[in-house]
Amino acid sequence: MNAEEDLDAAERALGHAPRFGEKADARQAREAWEARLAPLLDAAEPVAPPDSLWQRIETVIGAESGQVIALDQARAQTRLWKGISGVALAAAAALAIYVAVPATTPTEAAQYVAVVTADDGSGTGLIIQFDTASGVATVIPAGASPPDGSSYEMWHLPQGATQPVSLGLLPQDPVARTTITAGTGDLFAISLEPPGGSPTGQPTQPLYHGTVVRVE
Amino acid sequence: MPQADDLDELLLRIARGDRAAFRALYQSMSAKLFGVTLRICRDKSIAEDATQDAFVEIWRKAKDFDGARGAPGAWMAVIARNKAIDQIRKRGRAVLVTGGEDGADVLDTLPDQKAAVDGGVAGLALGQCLGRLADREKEMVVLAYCEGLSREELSERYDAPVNTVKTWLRRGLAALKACLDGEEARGRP
Repeated sequence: MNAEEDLDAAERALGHAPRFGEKADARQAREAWEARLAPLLDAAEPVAPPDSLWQRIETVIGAESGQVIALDQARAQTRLWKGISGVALAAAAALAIYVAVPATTPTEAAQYVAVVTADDGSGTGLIIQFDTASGVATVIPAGASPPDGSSYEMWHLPQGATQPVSLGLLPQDPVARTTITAGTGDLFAISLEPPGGSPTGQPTQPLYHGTVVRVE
Repeated sequence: MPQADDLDELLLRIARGDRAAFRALYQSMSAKLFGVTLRICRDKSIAEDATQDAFVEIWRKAKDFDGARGAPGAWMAVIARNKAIDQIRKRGRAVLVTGGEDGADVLDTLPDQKAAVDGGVAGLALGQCLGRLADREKEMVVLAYCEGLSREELSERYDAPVNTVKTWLRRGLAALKACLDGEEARGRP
């Protein structure tokens, strides 16, 4: 970048030329100018905004955060979907389709899914689909059986909570449950336990985890 | 004003989707960022829109924040400023009625950066280097950056053709950068 181009970047930093369409080095040069001049912003007198502003911001964040997380999550998950069971693949495929075609016409009923994958990235252990219209959570085990003499146990950690709640042992086959209510950002996990489940009420050896994302 | 470390921590949590951390960040920074946008937009409702845009962007980009490249408060203030500029370039704004401002109030605060959220050294160097510019160029840089004055508005204010304003500004910015680069080199051990 020569000196003239750097001054072009300074003009974009001042707002005298549009920032739109910058290439990477042009953006970096403009951001460097913004950082140089940023101490000037300290002089702005703080003014409390109206209370309604937070509500507006929260509404925007809430409306989009499900989808943003779903996309990030989906990218991460696609690397892990090889080698999981047919049922899980179908659910995974459904997730991919939903994410690839983001809903532009929101429906009242929302679909959420938690894809619970091995902490070491070796595979998927569990998929939970939530249908808010029916209140039914479908639990789809997708991993291998636990080693002999041990059990897999499911856990739910609501967003903001510090202690997970046991959902019982991992079923062999897909089951529908109406007692699991979860929101975006909630964490689900599977732990390895002695036969019959955790003796302490808390996970002994967590092996898999995944968060709830909205896929509607 | 919150400490930079606290803001760093909040941004880390926000990058992981932590809404409670976002709420805490809003409580810490909303008055500051609203102040930044209000100074540029000069209209509460436009400034509210700009501040909303800024917080939504902070939520989306928290994972891109790099503490090695700058302080968190400055990073957020720059986002708010850019959103305010976008709003006024898109929608226009009220004419400045007071008319007497020359950026002096902004410049007065620069040597007193120790009290500011992002530490004083950068502000001190900037204040010294701005002080070495010709008055007119210094005022133009400050008015453009802090109050969002366009070239056309500066042209009217200084009764000079737009191209002349552009030339003065580029000369001032070049001198400013040369001075800041020198200050940085001197500050190195």
